[in-house]
Amino acid sequence: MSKKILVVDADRSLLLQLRNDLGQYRQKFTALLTENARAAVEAVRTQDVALIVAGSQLEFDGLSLPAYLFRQEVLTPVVLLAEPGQEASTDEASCVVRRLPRPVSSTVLAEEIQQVLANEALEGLLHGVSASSFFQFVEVEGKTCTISVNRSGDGDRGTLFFVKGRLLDAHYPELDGVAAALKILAWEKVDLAILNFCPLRHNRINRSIGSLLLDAAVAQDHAAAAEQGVELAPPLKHKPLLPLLQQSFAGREGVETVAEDTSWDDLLGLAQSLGKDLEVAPFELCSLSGLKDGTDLVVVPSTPPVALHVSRFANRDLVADKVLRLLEEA
Amino acid sequence: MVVAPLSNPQSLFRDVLALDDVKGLLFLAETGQVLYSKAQDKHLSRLEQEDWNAISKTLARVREVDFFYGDDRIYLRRTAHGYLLVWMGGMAPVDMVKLNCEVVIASLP
Repeated sequence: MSKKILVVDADRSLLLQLRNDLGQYRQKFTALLTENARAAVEAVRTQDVALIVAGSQLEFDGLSLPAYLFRQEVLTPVVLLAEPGQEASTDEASCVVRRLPRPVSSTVLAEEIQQVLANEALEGLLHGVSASSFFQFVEVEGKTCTISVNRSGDGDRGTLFFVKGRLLDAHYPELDGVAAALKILAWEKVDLAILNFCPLRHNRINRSIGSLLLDAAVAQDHAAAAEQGVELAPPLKHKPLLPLLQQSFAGREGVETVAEDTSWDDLLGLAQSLGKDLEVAPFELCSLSGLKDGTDLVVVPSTPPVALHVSRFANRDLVADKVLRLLEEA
Repeated sequence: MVVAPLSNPQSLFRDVLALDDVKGLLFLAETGQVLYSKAQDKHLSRLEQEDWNAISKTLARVREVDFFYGDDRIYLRRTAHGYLLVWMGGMAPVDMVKLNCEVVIASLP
């Protein structure tokens, strides 16, 4: 069945040429053409467009057109027609999967369109699946994909971004990163639209799907209990460690301060990931040395993380040992 | 930036790897380019896939980190060339491992 593609470019003569030349491919795709970014945005909203070919000179609402569409959660792959010298990719988040330098021949463009439709366009739709099983499958299989997740039945919607099985980021209205991921992963039955590419490269989450699913389930249990007026005891790993550690260490063993500290979240994420890579026991804590202020640090990956500042004259390994024993007993 | 390969890395890291219960060693450039890798266990190679570039700003805040996983420990030492990671089991002489790492780092070009 012929797919619909959208070609948007300010060069009218190019559009006329493509209208003539791309007609021969109508068995594979039909092209909607416009020179107007606003019309393109409207077309994407109202039509089932499988791919967008966009001139790099087009902007909408102060952003390049691909960047604007990405911000609107339009995850349709984009082939960008770039000005000479602008073929290199930028840091701008978008769904650009190919960059073609101008001038571009209709034949080359048609080939790229067909490749993208075959590779990066909508991979599949799944309805009423168990979210947790599927996302763990994506992680285990090391898939690179973008998954648009619709909660079955109520229209709630979010997006998850995977590269080689790692969840890099998540989007939900008003939420990003871990917060959005926890929201989405709490849904039980979902409808999924899977795209075979991921437009993002930066890992904002740095946590395994397993740990996020666990946290999402715990949050859901607490929310359900709260609705019924029942107060649940916090799960073991979320017990408030701060008072316990403050009581045990304040002014002792060379520990100067004990406080919550979220500034090492990405390091803790790395630690979780390394442990998973090596298939060792769960990550318990880390100790850091060589900080600019001269102290050492022992960081416990609780929620939120707790950091113990250890004087450089004290033995941080001893402190780490003692914290580990406390955690076993807690 | 392409980091120059190490000359004779086997000799460089031999003493660290010879210590009891040292399960593997990985030397990475800040970008994640593998400069040297040696392990008894194939899982060590998975560490090469981490996004080391993305974490480099945080790692620049410290000189070294010990990650604790039950009996296992990963020692990460930041160097001018990148990161030296040593995977140790519970019986490894940690102080000796760290001392030998300092000797190695001092002899790097």
